[in-house]
Amino acid sequence: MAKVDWLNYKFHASSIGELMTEPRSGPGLSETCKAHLLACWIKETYGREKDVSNKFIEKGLAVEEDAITLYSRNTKTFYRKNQETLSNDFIVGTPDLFDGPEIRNATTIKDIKSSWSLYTYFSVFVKPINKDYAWQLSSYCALTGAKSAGLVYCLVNTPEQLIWKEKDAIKWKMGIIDPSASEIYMQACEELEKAMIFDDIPMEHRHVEFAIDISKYPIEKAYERIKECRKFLSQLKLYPEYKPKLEKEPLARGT
Amino acid sequence: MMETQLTNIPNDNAFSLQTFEHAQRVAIMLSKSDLIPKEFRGNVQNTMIALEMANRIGASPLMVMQNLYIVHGKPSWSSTFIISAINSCKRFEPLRFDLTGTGDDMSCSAWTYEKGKTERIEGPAVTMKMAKAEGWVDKNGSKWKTMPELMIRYRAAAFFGRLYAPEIMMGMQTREEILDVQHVDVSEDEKRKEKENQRILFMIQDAKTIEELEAVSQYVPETHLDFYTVKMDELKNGKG
Repeated sequence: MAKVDWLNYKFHASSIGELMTEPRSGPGLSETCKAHLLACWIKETYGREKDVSNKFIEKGLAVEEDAITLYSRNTKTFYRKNQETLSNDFIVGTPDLFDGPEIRNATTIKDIKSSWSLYTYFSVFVKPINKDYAWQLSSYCALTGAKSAGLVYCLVNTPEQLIWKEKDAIKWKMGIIDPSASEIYMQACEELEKAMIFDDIPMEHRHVEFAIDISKYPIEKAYERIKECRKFLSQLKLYPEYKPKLEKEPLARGT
Repeated sequence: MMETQLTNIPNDNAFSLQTFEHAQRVAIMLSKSDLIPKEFRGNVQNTMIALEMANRIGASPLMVMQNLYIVHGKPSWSSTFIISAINSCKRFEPLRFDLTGTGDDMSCSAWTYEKGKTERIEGPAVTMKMAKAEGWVDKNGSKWKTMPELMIRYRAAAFFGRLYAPEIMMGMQTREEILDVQHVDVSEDEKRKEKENQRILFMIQDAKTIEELEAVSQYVPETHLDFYTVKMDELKNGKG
């Protein structure tokens, strides 16, 4: 079990959005924020990551470089994924892309997101900006000194391995023993592939960039919230000091 | 010289002139069928390779095509095909599995008898500890987590086949083996570098003006310099 200096704990840029969610009523931290803080506490105390992987995240990680290639080709600007992790007194993070001579002297920070399907891709055109992403970009700007930020969505082919996994999932769901003998299954696979491969869609239709007004996501406000979160974490007594309230008392051992 | 070479190639080789032409005709006909998997449909070259493989292992071309998967550009067999091919190759009695233990202590080996002999031949044991140590279990979406008893048998069969029936495996891995080990062969850094180089190639290829091409000049690796120079000449000569 690790001893953590919660009063100086640094949060990842990608989690600032969760910390910044407002409670439904009254002052204090929101339930979303507390849930995230609890995950941080468990991770740091017991050294175990919360398993948050899903097919969307898996694709995002697998095709990150392909998405950068698409964006580079469409903008006629060669981009390379930044590998340097930056931190200040409150936040730590690794921005994806930047404009400018080097990451610590960047003018614009860009974050690349890969959409799962044509439908999820086009949904970002009509939905409001995802606040978690906006806070993430605001944090990256604070870490690098950049004055502007862009949120880039790309639509690139799903890797073969993920398509196979989806096909396997259909197979098990349909209870198929001999895939080649099932017309419905073969048809479903064909449709699945069509839904996950986008080579037939013009490249320039497959990326969209939203400029983020970082003044709407003031980093000073985030720092204040981080201070509150640190206080919450430092006062968190879960074990062995935890005294369950009567209405939440777990079943006695052995029952 | 050419004549001598051709006559030296045995007639049963798929690449002798006569057999090649015959195989090509068969491949063209088969590739037009709606019943074969889509990787081969309309693809005479792939169908031809499948025919050659079927010929070598004495299986039906349709069976080979239905059990040959291309994963990350590598041809691979389905595990069930390996088991079925071992069972039907007439050298062995049907493959059996010894499964012992549960959970982390589970272990499995595939074994059988050679036809007409009583000496038991056994493939290397596959254990869950091995699966964990090799990282097969912890991969996202790994079937080792949900169906360990099936996966351990598949892997035991692949090990057995590689050792006692390499002519069936033809040096290829099973689909599950490739899926289990991908990302292990190449480091993340190497993969990223490869993607960056590919990106530069695309950008050189896409360039429609000298300015666009010059914008990538500082990133062009030595390996792509020829390509860059040729493209620059084309643009300067107005052929871009």
